[in-house]
Amino acid sequence: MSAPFYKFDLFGYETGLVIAFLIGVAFGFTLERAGFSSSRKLALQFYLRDMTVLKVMFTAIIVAMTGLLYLNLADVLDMSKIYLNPTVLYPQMLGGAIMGVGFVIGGYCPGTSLVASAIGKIDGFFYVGGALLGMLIYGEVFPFFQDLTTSGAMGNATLSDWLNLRPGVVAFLVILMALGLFYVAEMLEKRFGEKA
Amino acid sequence: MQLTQIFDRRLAVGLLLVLGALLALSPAGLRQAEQLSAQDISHMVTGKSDHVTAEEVSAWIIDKQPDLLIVDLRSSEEYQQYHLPGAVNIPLTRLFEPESLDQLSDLYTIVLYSNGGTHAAQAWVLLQQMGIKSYVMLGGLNYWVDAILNPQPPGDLAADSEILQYQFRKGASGFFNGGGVSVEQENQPAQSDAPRPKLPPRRKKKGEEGC
Repeated sequence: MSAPFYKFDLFGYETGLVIAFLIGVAFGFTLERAGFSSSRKLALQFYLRDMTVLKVMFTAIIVAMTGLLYLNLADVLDMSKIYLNPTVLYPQMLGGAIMGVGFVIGGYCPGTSLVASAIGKIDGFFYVGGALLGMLIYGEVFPFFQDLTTSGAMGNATLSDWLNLRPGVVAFLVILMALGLFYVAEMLEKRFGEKA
Repeated sequence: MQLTQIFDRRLAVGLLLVLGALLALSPAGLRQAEQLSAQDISHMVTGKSDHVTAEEVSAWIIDKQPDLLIVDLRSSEEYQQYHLPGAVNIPLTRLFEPESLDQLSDLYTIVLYSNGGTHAAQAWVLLQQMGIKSYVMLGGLNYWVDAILNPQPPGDLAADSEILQYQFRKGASGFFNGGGVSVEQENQPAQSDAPRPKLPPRRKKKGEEGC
């Protein structure tokens, strides 16, 4: 096994930053091409009229998941060396709810607001400015939230540990879930979409 | 031609189901890299990713890096006499006991030191094979005492870099000696009016990943 390359010291920190930059540019470009720089299109998601966001994001998830698992099966990638964002249940639920409300109101999520700013959308600039202001305020009142930030800490929690199933089985269930949701999404688009 | 015409939907769904079903039957995601080979380890040694300098360690201590775990591998008697501020004592003979290994979480930047460099380097190799990443403090405590606690001024013909290094060491020495207190009395809380040394950048490590 030779991946993740950084963990096996195939390149250093600085090279890692360059690679991250290139991946970030490709990611932003792809989001823009998928139409994610338009707050109108993104907001239509919440009126069940255009489910592109759900379809693109869930496609990305199952493609990446399947690819990672097959790379592991081929002894290329050691999954145990991949960085997982630790699960801290309560603050993440609260943060998710706040981000969701912000998404409905502002029409962007943090990533797509940067995509919109990159192509010069004024509402994107306002969104990014608001996000930075929010970060500043959070930083200033952080001691007040300090206990909350560690409540429900579960470490590197994964679905397969939680359900006590092999990762491959979980992956299959997630694929079934994605296909089911794609079907429901298209039904909803037919029912509520602009063009009948 | 549209992409949708090349990739038929039913084909895509069928392919996903087959790939997913194969995954469900396979041990995918559970396979782990084998232990590092001697060759991997020798690459890390020649690539110098195995050690940090005493100057770097002193800067991390002064900067109160929260994830720093300094491990003193010497006997507890030697540890009582003098040890780096904040260092924990795990003598080499007890390093591989489970309760010692439990302390070496990968959330920490682990720095090993002994009197010279030999014991720390040997412990580094053994830990590396167990998948625990650590750094050896170059030169060990002997170099630390010479360079950080009692730095010698460079000669008149010294290069700028040597003078800068001396200035750094002088500042650090003020910090660690508690302003003129000799090495033996080091256990007092370190206080200093010495100029704060300029800190070299910290090495990136695992715990800092993520957005």
